[in-house]
Amino acid sequence: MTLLGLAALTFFIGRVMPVDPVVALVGDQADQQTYREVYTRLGLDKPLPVQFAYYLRDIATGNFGTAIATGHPVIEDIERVFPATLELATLALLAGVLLGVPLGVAAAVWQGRPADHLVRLFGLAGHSVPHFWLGLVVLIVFYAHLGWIGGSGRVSLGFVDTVPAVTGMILVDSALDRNWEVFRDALRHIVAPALILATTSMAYLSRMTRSFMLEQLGQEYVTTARIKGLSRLGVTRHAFRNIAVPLVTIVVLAYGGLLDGAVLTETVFGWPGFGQYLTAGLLAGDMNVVLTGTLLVGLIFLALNLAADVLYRTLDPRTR
Amino acid sequence: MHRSVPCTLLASLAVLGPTVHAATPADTFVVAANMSQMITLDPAAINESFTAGFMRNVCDPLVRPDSDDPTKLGPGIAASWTLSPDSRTYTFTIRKGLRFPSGNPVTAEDVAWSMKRNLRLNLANAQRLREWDITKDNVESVVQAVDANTLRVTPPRPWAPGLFLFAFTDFRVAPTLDRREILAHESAGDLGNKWLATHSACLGPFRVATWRPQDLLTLERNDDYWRRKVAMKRIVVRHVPEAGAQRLLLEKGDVDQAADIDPADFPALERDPNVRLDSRPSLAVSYMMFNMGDARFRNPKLFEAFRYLWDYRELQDTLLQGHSIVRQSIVPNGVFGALPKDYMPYKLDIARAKRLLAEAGYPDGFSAELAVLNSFPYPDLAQHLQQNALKAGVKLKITQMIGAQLYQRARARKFEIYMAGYGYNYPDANNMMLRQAYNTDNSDRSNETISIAWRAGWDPGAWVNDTIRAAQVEPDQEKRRAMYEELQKRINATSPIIYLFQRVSVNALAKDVKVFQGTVFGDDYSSIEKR
Repeated sequence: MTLLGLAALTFFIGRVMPVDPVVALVGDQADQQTYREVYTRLGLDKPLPVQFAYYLRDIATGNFGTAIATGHPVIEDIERVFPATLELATLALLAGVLLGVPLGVAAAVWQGRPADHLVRLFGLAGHSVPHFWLGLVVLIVFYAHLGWIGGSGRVSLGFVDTVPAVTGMILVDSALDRNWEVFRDALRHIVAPALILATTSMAYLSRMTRSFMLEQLGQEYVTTARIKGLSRLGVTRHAFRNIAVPLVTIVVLAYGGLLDGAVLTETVFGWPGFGQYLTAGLLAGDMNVVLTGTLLVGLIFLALNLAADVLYRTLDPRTR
Repeated sequence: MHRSVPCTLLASLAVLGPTVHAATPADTFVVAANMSQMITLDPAAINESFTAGFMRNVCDPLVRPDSDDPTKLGPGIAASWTLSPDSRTYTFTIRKGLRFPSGNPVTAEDVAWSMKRNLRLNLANAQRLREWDITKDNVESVVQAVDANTLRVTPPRPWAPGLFLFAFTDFRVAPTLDRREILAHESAGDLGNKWLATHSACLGPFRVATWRPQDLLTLERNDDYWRRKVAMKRIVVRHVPEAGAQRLLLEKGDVDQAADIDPADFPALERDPNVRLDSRPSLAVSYMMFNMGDARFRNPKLFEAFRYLWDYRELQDTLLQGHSIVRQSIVPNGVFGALPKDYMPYKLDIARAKRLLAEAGYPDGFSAELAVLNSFPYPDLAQHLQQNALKAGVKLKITQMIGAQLYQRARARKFEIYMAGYGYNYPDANNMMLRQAYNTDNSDRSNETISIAWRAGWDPGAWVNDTIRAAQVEPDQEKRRAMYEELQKRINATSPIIYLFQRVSVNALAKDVKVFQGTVFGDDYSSIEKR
């Protein structure tokens, strides 16, 4: 039901967009005869509700249509671009959690001290520095001048298509193939975009962790534990266990956000991912791509919500 | 002005020291390009110039333009041709012994089939055949394969011989497709359109090996290519959408060519010892137009006034340095029938523009919306015009749009003032006249929506339309040239379309690319030699 509503909303917004899919397909220099024929072929001459009904019928039979911008079936395209984004988003989330959560805890424990201010500064920067700009700076310094990381794309050109595609995620595929040379090269390419993407989730996670922790540290059980002489580390450990549940929710949400694809980061690093694909589809007025993409994002959020619910049960003793 | 951010950034960081320089393999040519416009490789459907230029390295034309002077034509897949004494029938002799990469022989039937296919599919390039009066209804009699090596073409009108052959220089008009290979991949009667979107079945120096849209395109050399020995074994194009990232890859030596360098970066790249810039003319122009469907915009004096609101020279030397040159005529330089290069009747003259505006009935100016393409240099050009127009009392509101949105507005005649670029197809003035000045039905229900004159709501009048038609069949080249020169001057005197600049195509190449040729049609990868 949620997905149907989402499809309907996207469909009608898409149809009133001022971009003409026929022009995207035939270009500016096609004559009226071609224009009209393609217009009819795309079914654009039918009333909107009829077009929508046709669309629903097609997706019910598993036909998501062909993308204007690639000439491929949308599903095939997504199978190709989504693993690239999944790989990037997962690493970015890992980095975000591993850095953001400890920083947030530290900021709460040393509230008002230099450590807290430093984390706040970090968080502010992570939130406000544009990825587009940061990406270029990182490329100039670490790729062009120092040569520590790879340039555009997921691997160097010499390694393109050298490991069999099993999952579509190059780090996983090269590890499965035990081709460590490709693995190292892929790592050199993914580290910069993943860390840049991680800055936002890290900033967000550290701020949220800090406020959750402060709330817990102000509770009476903490004061009691302190009076009883429990060490600062011990108190922190107790309090942290109690913020696990809300923390999982925001981590899951952050993951969902990352999986939508990050257009700017993908653009700067020439990363052939979901964000770029969806944007190209949008700019071509390509409803097949936009609708399927939106449905996929909807599905991801539904699945992540479900995952969060399951995690609550395991983490919260009261629900066991 | 987000464009300047990466530039400032690059400049400020250039002090960090020399870059570590890598190199691409000696027999591979690597290109970084923004391939988001590349939506299909099917010659019947390719709708923009980057893909067309690129695919010229895969699909040889029947007739080849000379690399130094593209108005001169020589043999291609057709080894020779003859014209019947009544100037009606062209007989092409297909070069003997040619084979497609699949091993199938190249025959006249392949060419005839490919031209018919183009019309039957009725996609982006069907119009390119209709432009020569070849239609779905007459193609069977106009194009005939006499035997395996003889193709006979009898167009309905006796085109000027110097003109008609241009049709065969374009693989989008008269492709030589491997019909057996394509039909083996046909699905649901689509004449192989779906398969050809991502494959190639042509004869040329290269063939498409891998094509992942918005990711990677590789070409592989056809080893027994008929025309010349080709040094590069592979051409690899990587999708790098960001111009700043392309520049870094080039400076680092990870690519041999960066296709979309920001013109503001040219001066810095000129100083880079690892990079060389190579420029040549192109057939792309920048223009603006008024919509005469708007009752306010009907007086030719208004259009003339706007011709004096541009500081052409200044823009050429600053903003557009290395990107474009001044061209104030519908016909670009280097084209058959073009006015001399120094034809430059207009310059910035605000007092004169003001006087003309008053004569046109706008002593106090007016306000209007200027719709422009959102990519360089149009937003900057729009600001330039806005400032000068304000001095003459005209208030312009600038609206930036992406191509698919802007072109749609032009096609629907929904704009007030419009500015964009246009890429012509072959270097003969007929192409410019037909696309931009010819309009015999100015009504809203017209079929001539392809014509820029129609989009501007401009009825050029019987003289212009008739002269364009007459020049098409004028056998005397000198007379034909004179007709185009007269047309250009008359068009400037009355047209709501104002021609501003002609693009220069600049190739940013790695220093060790020794030979790199090309024409107005695009880069010729078969010519590449590296050190």
